[in-house]
Amino acid sequence: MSVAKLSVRQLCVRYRDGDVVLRDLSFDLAAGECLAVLGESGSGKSTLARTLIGLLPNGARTNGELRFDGEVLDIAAAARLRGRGIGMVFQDAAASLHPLRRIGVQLSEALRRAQAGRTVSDALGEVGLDASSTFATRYPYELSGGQRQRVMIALALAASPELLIADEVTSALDPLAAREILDVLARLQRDRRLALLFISHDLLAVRHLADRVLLLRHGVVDALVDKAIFFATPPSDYARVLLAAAVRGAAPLLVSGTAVLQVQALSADYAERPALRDIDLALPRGGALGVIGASGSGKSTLARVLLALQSGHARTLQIAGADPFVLSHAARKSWRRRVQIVFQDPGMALDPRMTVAETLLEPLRLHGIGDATTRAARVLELLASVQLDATLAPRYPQQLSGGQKQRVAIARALALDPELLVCDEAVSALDLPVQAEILALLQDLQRMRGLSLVFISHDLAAVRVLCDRVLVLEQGRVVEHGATVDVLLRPQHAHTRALLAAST
Amino acid sequence: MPGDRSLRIAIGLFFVLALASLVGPWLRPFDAWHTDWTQLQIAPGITHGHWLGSDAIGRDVFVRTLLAGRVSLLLGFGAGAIALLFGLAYGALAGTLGGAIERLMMRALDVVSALPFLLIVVLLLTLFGRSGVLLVVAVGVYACIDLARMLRAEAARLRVLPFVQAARALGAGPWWLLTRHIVPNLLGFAVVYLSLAIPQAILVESFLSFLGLGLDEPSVSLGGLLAEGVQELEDAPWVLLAPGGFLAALLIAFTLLGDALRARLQRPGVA
Repeated sequence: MSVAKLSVRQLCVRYRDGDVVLRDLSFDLAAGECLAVLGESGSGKSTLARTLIGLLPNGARTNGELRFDGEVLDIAAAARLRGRGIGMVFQDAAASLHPLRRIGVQLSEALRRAQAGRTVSDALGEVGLDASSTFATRYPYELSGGQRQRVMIALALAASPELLIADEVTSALDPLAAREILDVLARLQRDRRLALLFISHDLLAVRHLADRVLLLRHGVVDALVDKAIFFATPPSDYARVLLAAAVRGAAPLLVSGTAVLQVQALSADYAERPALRDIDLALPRGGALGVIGASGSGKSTLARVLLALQSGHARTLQIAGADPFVLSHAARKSWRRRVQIVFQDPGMALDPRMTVAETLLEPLRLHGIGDATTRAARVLELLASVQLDATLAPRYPQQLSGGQKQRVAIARALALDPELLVCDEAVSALDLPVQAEILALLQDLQRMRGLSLVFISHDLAAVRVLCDRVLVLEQGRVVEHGATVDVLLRPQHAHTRALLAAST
Repeated sequence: MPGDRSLRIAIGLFFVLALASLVGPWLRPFDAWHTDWTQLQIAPGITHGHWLGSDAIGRDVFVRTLLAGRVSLLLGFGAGAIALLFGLAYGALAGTLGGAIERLMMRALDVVSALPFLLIVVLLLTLFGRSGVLLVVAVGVYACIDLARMLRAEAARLRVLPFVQAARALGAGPWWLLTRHIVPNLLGFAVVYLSLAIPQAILVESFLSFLGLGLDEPSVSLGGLLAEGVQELEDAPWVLLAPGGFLAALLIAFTLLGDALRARLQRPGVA
């Protein structure tokens, strides 16, 4: 290996409250090489990035040796190199761009400060964006998530850094946009001989981009090996768990029976724009329908209409035996017992001022089910059904992990014994092993309770394991539907093929 | 936590001021309205008993300042309570209901806030006489407009969050959402804003009293005392400095309290 661009020796980082976040971390990164830092949330990935650019929170202490180009990289050096020798791209591009300034202005400012001698259109073209002057006059809110992320990369590259740190840059994007970002990064790395530190919890992205993989767990290096070795022969137990969670079983067989869901020619608006146009869908009792599509395809609008949380027009609309939009007030309230939802963001799915027990009691109180003793027993039963410990009952959401919160959200949805459960990206925000657990839980519930599922996701692997049928949405229209095995193995529509290509 | 320390300091300062205005006047043998013709414009000191001196007609400045502080605090909290009650009800209701009702309620609020507040208060005070109750209500209504607007925005943000949507999907109606989810999550926000609205109310009352539109004699208020102090600034500056200092300390205590509470509310994990 050539001389290391970045060399880290026995790095320890400790926060003020005494938590050791990184312990004895050592690695080298050469120019033109991509090292992927893989690990679940809380493993210390982002702390590593912050240490390298000298942006640790106040009171954090570091030990060990960092060298960049052979020079010692202390706080002062990191501050000097930040944005020059070392560039950084964050997960949330929307929060990192100035919302009220045109992207061309922001870029030209960075280019001028770096005295790079390149124009805005050069910089935009390099990251595969439209290099015309009209594109540069747009504001960040006029761009898609993928385009914003490319602008962020162009900004990070303005001063021609030799090391680029990309922290979860694809996590907030749908698979198509994510794949495009990965392609841009791969090309830049090749053309500029960038040393790339690619921080992610996405195995697919890591497999696509990395030369070597550094697996972090609880702040300690669990494995540091070549990519091929990592994926072929997982070097540790934890790596095996991660990989096993990613490779899931075959699609279930097509379920048939009486329909729990029968929808014809459904149209609905979102934010006063048409979001769904002439959707047909059907689901037999006990079946699971996967709804896939890129962001903005109308997936979440579909979920909201199925729950009668927003209105829609349809020729036929039978959801769990009724059309909620023609029901009387009282009838609709009792209809709600039969259809429930689990949302994506476990952080906001539970009222922060209610304990777990109060959250689970709410549906019972709303519908006047049982008395104090039977309700308390029901709460324990619900906790057990989502494999949570009864001792969690008096806790507040802030005291729970993401996976625990999502289990509580599922338990709340089950409290009224629904026939149909709609999961809107219910596992997307969770770490991979936790995702696998939640998916297994949903499978169990489906089998044991005869629950019907509408599983909305952009994660095709999750859809494949859980759903017997699939519907592909593009810009509010159904472009393809059928049995999971057929659609995912023999896709007919170009959009389905693109989605599939982006997730393998 | 640094937030906790500044919160403790703010609460400490506030309690010292409140306690002083509550029991302070009883520490001295003087009556606030007793005029002592032998003790005109005495400078502050310990030996003669007038700790903060006396004014042009021999009244004790210490007792009068703390009594006025009592009035200001009472008025601030009264106006604050009115603002909290109406602002919370109005804002939370508009934000929870949404749609046309929300727009109508907020436009009505825009109309009210476009009215010249001070002019109307002055008019009311001249029409109905200078009463404390009227002053408290007027200042409370004034503060409640801003509070309602802010709480409406916050309630509208909460309304679309998954936990509120999940409750709707469970069959909860607007009243249930309002009382179980929206209002409990708004309270922290409302209290922070209140800690900024109360000093504003105190300031508005002082301003009106300074102009001679506040509470009638023989009641004392900080603004009234400031107006008297200005008259004697050259001969007896302590008559101005004592109520002025007390008012400044009171406002600083509230501002610190508001900042510390806000910092505490914004800590991660508390939505």
